[in-house]
Amino acid sequence: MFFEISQTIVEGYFNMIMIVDITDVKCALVELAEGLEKVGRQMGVVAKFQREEIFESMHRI
Amino acid sequence: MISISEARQTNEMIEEENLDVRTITMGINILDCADPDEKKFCEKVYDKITKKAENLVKVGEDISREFGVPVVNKRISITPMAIAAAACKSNNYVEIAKTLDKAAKEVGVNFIGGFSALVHKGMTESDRILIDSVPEALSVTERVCSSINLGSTRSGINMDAVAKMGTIIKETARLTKEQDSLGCAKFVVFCNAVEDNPFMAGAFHGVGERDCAINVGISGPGVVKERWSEFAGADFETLCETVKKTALKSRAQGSLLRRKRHHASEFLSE
Repeated sequence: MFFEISQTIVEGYFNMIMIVDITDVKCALVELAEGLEKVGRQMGVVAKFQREEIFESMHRI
Repeated sequence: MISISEARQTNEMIEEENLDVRTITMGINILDCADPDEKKFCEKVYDKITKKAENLVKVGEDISREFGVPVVNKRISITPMAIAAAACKSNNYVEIAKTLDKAAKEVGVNFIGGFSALVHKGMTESDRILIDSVPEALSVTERVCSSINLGSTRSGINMDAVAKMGTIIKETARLTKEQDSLGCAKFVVFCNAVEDNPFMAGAFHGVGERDCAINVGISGPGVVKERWSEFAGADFETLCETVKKTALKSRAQGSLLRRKRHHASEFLSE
Protein backbone atom coordinates (compact mmCIF):
# COMPACT_ATOMS: atom_id res chain seq x y z
CA MET A 1 0.00 0.00 0.00
CA PHE A 2 1.33 3.48 -0.91
CA PHE A 3 1.03 6.30 1.57
CA GLU A 4 2.80 8.99 -0.34
CA ILE A 5 4.74 9.37 -3.55
CA SER A 6 6.85 12.21 -4.89
CA GLN A 7 8.56 12.60 -8.24
CA THR A 8 11.05 15.39 -8.83
CA ILE A 9 14.05 16.28 -10.97
CA VAL A 10 17.03 17.04 -8.76
CA GLU A 11 20.05 18.45 -10.60
CA GLY A 12 18.98 16.71 -13.78
CA TYR A 13 18.30 13.36 -12.11
CA PHE A 14 14.85 11.87 -11.89
CA ASN A 15 14.09 11.18 -8.28
CA MET A 16 11.13 9.25 -6.88
CA ILE A 17 10.40 8.61 -3.23
CA MET A 18 7.64 6.26 -2.12
CA ILE A 19 6.45 5.70 1.41
CA VAL A 20 5.02 2.20 1.56
CA ASP A 21 3.54 -0.12 4.15
CA ILE A 22 5.57 -3.33 4.51
CA THR A 23 3.45 -4.93 7.24
CA ASP A 24 2.57 -7.84 5.00
CA VAL A 25 6.11 -8.44 3.76
CA LYS A 26 7.07 -11.92 4.85
CA CYS A 27 10.79 -12.04 4.02
CA ALA A 28 13.63 -10.55 6.06
CA LEU A 29 14.13 -6.82 5.55
CA VAL A 30 17.67 -7.41 4.34
CA GLU A 31 16.30 -9.67 1.60
CA LEU A 32 13.77 -7.00 0.66
CA ALA A 33 16.53 -4.39 0.45
CA GLU A 34 18.72 -6.66 -1.66
CA GLY A 35 15.81 -7.63 -3.91
CA LEU A 36 14.94 -3.99 -4.57
CA GLU A 37 18.56 -3.14 -5.31
CA LYS A 38 18.69 -5.99 -7.79
CA VAL A 39 15.48 -4.94 -9.55
CA GLY A 40 16.83 -1.38 -9.65
CA ARG A 41 20.03 -2.52 -11.33
CA GLN A 42 18.04 -4.46 -13.92
CA MET A 43 16.01 -1.33 -14.69
CA GLY A 44 19.14 0.83 -14.83
CA VAL A 45 18.21 2.89 -11.76
CA VAL A 46 19.39 3.07 -8.18
CA ALA A 47 16.71 1.66 -5.85
CA LYS A 48 17.17 2.10 -2.14
CA PHE A 49 15.12 0.79 0.77
CA GLN A 50 15.19 2.40 4.22
CA ARG A 51 13.13 1.94 7.34
CA GLU A 52 11.01 4.87 8.47
CA GLU A 53 12.58 5.00 11.94
CA ILE A 54 15.84 6.43 10.58
CA PHE A 55 13.99 9.54 9.37
CA GLU A 56 11.77 9.82 12.41
CA SER A 57 14.72 9.59 14.78
CA MET A 58 16.48 12.44 13.02
CA HIS A 59 13.57 14.81 12.59
CA ARG A 60 11.30 14.23 15.58
CA ILE A 61 12.24 14.67 19.20
CA MET B 1 4.28 9.57 9.34
CA ILE B 2 7.46 10.96 7.86
CA SER B 3 7.36 13.54 5.11
CA ILE B 4 9.12 13.30 1.77
CA SER B 5 11.24 16.38 2.54
CA GLU B 6 12.50 14.78 5.76
CA ALA B 7 13.45 11.64 3.85
CA ARG B 8 15.23 13.73 1.25
CA GLN B 9 17.15 15.73 3.84
CA THR B 10 18.33 12.57 5.60
CA ASN B 11 19.48 11.00 2.36
CA GLU B 12 21.30 14.15 1.29
CA MET B 13 23.19 13.99 4.57
CA ILE B 14 24.11 10.35 3.93
CA GLU B 15 24.91 10.52 0.24
CA GLU B 16 26.43 13.94 -0.21
CA GLU B 17 27.70 15.01 3.18
CA ASN B 18 29.30 11.79 4.40
CA LEU B 19 27.02 11.15 7.33
CA ASP B 20 27.68 7.59 8.39
CA VAL B 21 28.12 5.29 11.33
CA ARG B 22 31.88 5.41 11.76
CA THR B 23 31.92 2.39 14.00
CA ILE B 24 29.88 -0.05 16.01
CA THR B 25 32.16 -1.07 18.85
CA MET B 26 31.33 -3.92 21.17
CA GLY B 27 32.82 -3.53 24.64
CA ILE B 28 33.52 -6.88 26.31
CA ASN B 29 34.47 -7.41 29.95
CA ILE B 30 37.15 -10.10 30.25
CA LEU B 31 37.76 -9.87 34.01
CA ASP B 32 35.95 -13.18 34.46
CA CYS B 33 38.58 -14.90 32.29
CA ALA B 34 41.32 -14.41 34.91
CA ASP B 35 43.53 -17.48 35.37
CA PRO B 36 47.06 -18.00 36.71
CA ASP B 37 47.77 -20.25 33.73
CA GLU B 38 48.46 -18.02 30.74
CA LYS B 39 47.35 -20.64 28.22
CA LYS B 40 44.02 -21.16 29.96
CA PHE B 41 43.56 -17.42 30.26
CA CYS B 42 44.11 -17.04 26.52
CA GLU B 43 41.60 -19.80 25.78
CA LYS B 44 38.97 -18.18 27.99
CA VAL B 45 39.54 -14.75 26.44
CA TYR B 46 39.37 -16.16 22.91
CA ASP B 47 36.18 -18.10 23.67
CA LYS B 48 34.47 -15.16 25.32
CA ILE B 49 35.30 -12.69 22.55
CA THR B 50 34.39 -15.04 19.70
CA LYS B 51 31.12 -15.99 21.42
CA LYS B 52 30.00 -12.48 22.34
CA ALA B 53 30.99 -10.92 19.02
CA GLU B 54 29.98 -13.87 16.87
CA ASN B 55 27.25 -11.91 15.06
CA LEU B 56 28.66 -8.40 15.43
CA VAL B 57 29.78 -7.97 11.83
CA LYS B 58 26.72 -9.60 10.29
CA VAL B 59 24.21 -7.65 12.35
CA GLY B 60 26.18 -4.45 11.70
CA GLU B 61 25.85 -5.07 7.99
CA ASP B 62 22.15 -5.95 8.29
CA ILE B 63 21.45 -2.72 10.17
CA SER B 64 23.31 -0.80 7.49
CA ARG B 65 21.10 -2.37 4.84
CA GLU B 66 17.81 -1.88 6.69
CA PHE B 67 18.36 1.78 7.45
CA GLY B 68 20.38 2.68 4.38
CA VAL B 69 23.15 4.17 6.51
CA PRO B 70 26.72 3.00 5.90
CA VAL B 71 28.33 1.32 8.91
CA VAL B 72 32.01 1.73 8.14
CA ASN B 73 33.75 -0.25 10.90
CA LYS B 74 32.91 -3.01 13.32
CA ARG B 75 35.26 -3.21 16.30
CA ILE B 76 35.80 -4.61 19.78
CA SER B 77 37.10 -3.12 23.01
CA ILE B 78 38.05 -5.19 26.05
CA THR B 79 38.87 -4.56 29.71
CA PRO B 80 42.41 -3.10 30.03
CA MET B 81 44.58 -6.17 29.68
CA ALA B 82 46.99 -5.25 32.49
CA ILE B 83 44.05 -5.61 34.92
CA ALA B 84 42.51 -8.70 33.35
CA ALA B 85 45.82 -10.57 33.01
CA ALA B 86 47.20 -9.60 36.42
CA ALA B 87 46.72 -13.11 37.83
CA CYS B 88 48.75 -14.72 35.01
CA LYS B 89 52.08 -16.21 35.96
CA SER B 90 53.84 -14.82 32.94
CA ASN B 91 56.55 -12.28 32.31
CA ASN B 92 55.43 -11.39 28.81
CA TYR B 93 51.98 -10.69 27.36
CA VAL B 94 52.80 -11.09 23.66
CA GLU B 95 51.00 -14.44 23.45
CA ILE B 96 47.92 -12.77 24.90
CA ALA B 97 48.09 -10.08 22.20
CA LYS B 98 48.32 -12.80 19.56
CA THR B 99 45.19 -14.39 21.02
CA LEU B 100 43.34 -11.07 20.70
CA ASP B 101 44.49 -10.78 17.09
CA LYS B 102 43.27 -14.29 16.34
CA ALA B 103 39.88 -13.61 17.95
CA ALA B 104 39.53 -10.32 16.00
CA LYS B 105 40.22 -12.14 12.73
CA GLU B 106 37.82 -14.93 13.61
CA VAL B 107 34.85 -12.59 14.13
CA GLY B 108 35.90 -10.26 11.28
CA VAL B 109 36.41 -6.97 13.15
CA ASN B 110 39.15 -4.67 11.88
CA PHE B 111 40.47 -3.61 15.30
CA ILE B 112 40.42 -4.82 18.87
CA GLY B 113 41.42 -2.30 21.55
CA GLY B 114 42.30 -2.82 25.18
CA PHE B 115 45.87 -4.08 25.25
CA SER B 116 46.08 -1.32 27.83
CA ALA B 117 47.34 -0.25 31.23
CA LEU B 118 46.18 2.55 33.54
CA VAL B 119 49.27 3.78 35.38
CA HIS B 120 48.45 7.44 36.11
CA LYS B 121 49.31 7.10 39.77
CA GLY B 122 51.54 4.05 39.90
CA MET B 123 52.49 0.87 38.15
CA THR B 124 51.68 -2.71 39.19
CA GLU B 125 53.83 -5.63 38.10
CA SER B 126 51.19 -6.53 35.51
CA ASP B 127 51.23 -2.95 34.15
CA ARG B 128 55.02 -3.16 33.77
CA ILE B 129 54.85 -6.50 31.95
CA LEU B 130 52.18 -5.18 29.60
CA ILE B 131 54.07 -2.00 28.80
CA ASP B 132 57.27 -3.95 28.14
CA SER B 133 55.32 -6.26 25.81
CA VAL B 134 53.82 -3.42 23.73
CA PRO B 135 56.54 -3.07 21.02
CA GLU B 136 56.66 -6.76 20.20
CA ALA B 137 52.90 -7.24 20.61
CA LEU B 138 52.16 -4.48 18.09
CA SER B 139 54.73 -5.78 15.63
CA VAL B 140 53.53 -9.39 15.57
CA THR B 141 49.80 -8.59 15.48
CA GLU B 142 47.69 -6.79 12.88
CA ARG B 143 44.51 -5.71 14.58
CA VAL B 144 45.44 -5.22 18.23
CA CYS B 145 45.45 -1.65 19.55
CA SER B 146 47.19 -0.61 22.72
CA SER B 147 46.92 2.36 25.06
CA ILE B 148 48.49 3.62 28.28
CA ASN B 149 47.09 6.26 30.61
CA LEU B 150 49.96 7.88 32.46
CA GLY B 151 48.52 10.99 33.97
CA SER B 152 45.37 12.57 35.35
CA THR B 153 44.37 16.00 36.64
CA ARG B 154 43.63 14.43 39.99
CA SER B 155 46.74 12.35 40.55
CA GLY B 156 49.31 14.19 38.47
CA ILE B 157 51.67 12.66 35.93
CA ASN B 158 53.51 9.40 36.50
CA MET B 159 56.97 10.55 35.39
CA ASP B 160 58.46 7.06 35.60
CA ALA B 161 55.86 5.94 33.08
CA VAL B 162 56.58 8.97 30.89
CA ALA B 163 60.31 8.10 30.85
CA LYS B 164 59.50 4.49 29.99
CA MET B 165 57.13 5.54 27.23
CA GLY B 166 59.92 7.21 25.27
CA THR B 167 61.74 3.89 24.91
CA ILE B 168 58.53 1.97 24.23
CA ILE B 169 57.38 4.25 21.43
CA LYS B 170 60.84 4.24 19.81
CA GLU B 171 61.11 0.48 20.05
CA THR B 172 57.58 0.05 18.61
CA ALA B 173 58.58 2.24 15.67
CA ARG B 174 61.83 0.29 15.17
CA LEU B 175 60.17 -3.14 15.23
CA THR B 176 57.63 -2.10 12.58
CA LYS B 177 60.00 0.04 10.48
CA GLU B 178 59.39 -2.11 7.40
CA GLN B 179 55.75 -0.99 7.44
CA ASP B 180 56.31 2.74 8.01
CA SER B 181 56.44 2.12 11.78
CA LEU B 182 52.77 1.17 11.72
CA GLY B 183 52.97 -0.14 15.30
CA CYS B 184 52.89 3.45 16.57
CA ALA B 185 49.60 4.11 14.75
CA LYS B 186 48.02 1.39 16.88
CA PHE B 187 49.30 2.87 20.13
CA VAL B 188 47.89 5.74 22.21
CA VAL B 189 49.38 7.40 25.28
CA PHE B 190 46.79 9.26 27.33
CA CYS B 191 46.56 11.84 30.00
CA ASN B 192 43.08 11.93 31.56
CA ALA B 193 41.83 8.85 29.72
CA VAL B 194 38.07 8.53 30.11
CA GLU B 195 36.65 5.67 32.12
CA ASP B 196 35.39 3.84 29.05
CA ASN B 197 36.48 4.56 25.49
CA PRO B 198 35.06 3.00 22.32
CA PHE B 199 37.36 4.89 19.92
CA MET B 200 40.47 3.33 18.41
CA ALA B 201 43.32 3.14 18.87
CA GLY B 202 42.77 4.09 22.50
CA ALA B 203 39.67 1.96 23.01
CA PHE B 204 39.12 -0.11 26.12
CA HIS B 205 36.07 -1.43 27.97
CA GLY B 206 35.66 0.49 31.25
CA VAL B 207 35.57 -1.46 34.51
CA GLY B 208 32.40 0.40 35.47
CA GLU B 209 30.60 -0.97 32.42
CA ARG B 210 28.30 -3.98 32.10
CA ASP B 211 29.60 -7.33 30.81
CA CYS B 212 29.00 -6.47 27.19
CA ALA B 213 28.02 -3.13 25.67
CA ILE B 214 27.35 -1.72 22.22
CA ASN B 215 28.72 1.72 21.32
CA VAL B 216 27.79 3.53 18.12
CA GLY B 217 30.05 6.29 16.79
CA ILE B 218 28.52 8.72 14.27
CA SER B 219 30.60 10.76 11.88
CA GLY B 220 28.96 13.98 10.86
CA PRO B 221 31.63 16.66 10.28
CA GLY B 222 30.75 16.82 6.57
CA VAL B 223 27.13 17.42 7.46
CA VAL B 224 27.98 20.18 9.91
CA LYS B 225 30.33 21.82 7.38
CA GLU B 226 27.64 21.76 4.69
CA ARG B 227 25.08 23.43 6.99
CA TRP B 228 27.74 25.90 8.05
CA SER B 229 28.46 26.97 4.45
CA GLU B 230 24.73 27.47 3.85
CA PHE B 231 24.77 30.04 6.63
CA ALA B 232 28.02 31.78 5.64
CA GLY B 233 27.97 35.38 6.79
CA ALA B 234 25.25 34.76 9.36
CA ASP B 235 25.73 35.94 12.94
CA PHE B 236 27.49 33.76 15.47
CA GLU B 237 24.33 32.80 17.32
CA THR B 238 22.71 31.47 14.12
CA LEU B 239 25.84 29.45 13.36
CA CYS B 240 25.91 27.94 16.86
CA GLU B 241 22.25 27.06 16.65
CA THR B 242 22.73 25.42 13.23
CA VAL B 243 25.68 23.33 14.38
CA LYS B 244 23.77 22.29 17.49
CA LYS B 245 20.67 21.20 15.54
CA THR B 246 22.70 19.33 12.94
CA ALA B 247 24.76 17.53 15.58
CA LEU B 248 21.56 16.58 17.38
CA LYS B 249 20.16 15.00 14.23
CA SER B 250 23.34 13.00 13.63
CA ARG B 251 23.34 11.89 17.23
CA ALA B 252 19.69 10.87 17.13
CA GLN B 253 20.57 8.51 14.33
CA GLY B 254 23.28 6.86 16.44
CA SER B 255 20.90 6.51 19.37
CA LEU B 256 18.34 4.80 17.18
CA LEU B 257 20.81 2.19 15.99
CA ARG B 258 22.02 1.60 19.52
CA ARG B 259 18.45 1.31 20.82
CA LYS B 260 17.66 -1.55 18.47
CA ARG B 261 17.64 -3.98 21.32
CA HIS B 262 16.42 -6.89 19.26
CA HIS B 263 19.53 -6.36 17.20
CA ALA B 264 21.64 -6.01 20.30
CA SER B 265 20.47 -9.41 21.49
CA GLU B 266 21.54 -10.81 18.14
CA PHE B 267 24.87 -9.10 18.67
CA LEU B 268 25.28 -10.68 22.04
CA SER B 269 24.23 -14.10 20.78
CA GLU B 270 23.29 -15.30 24.24
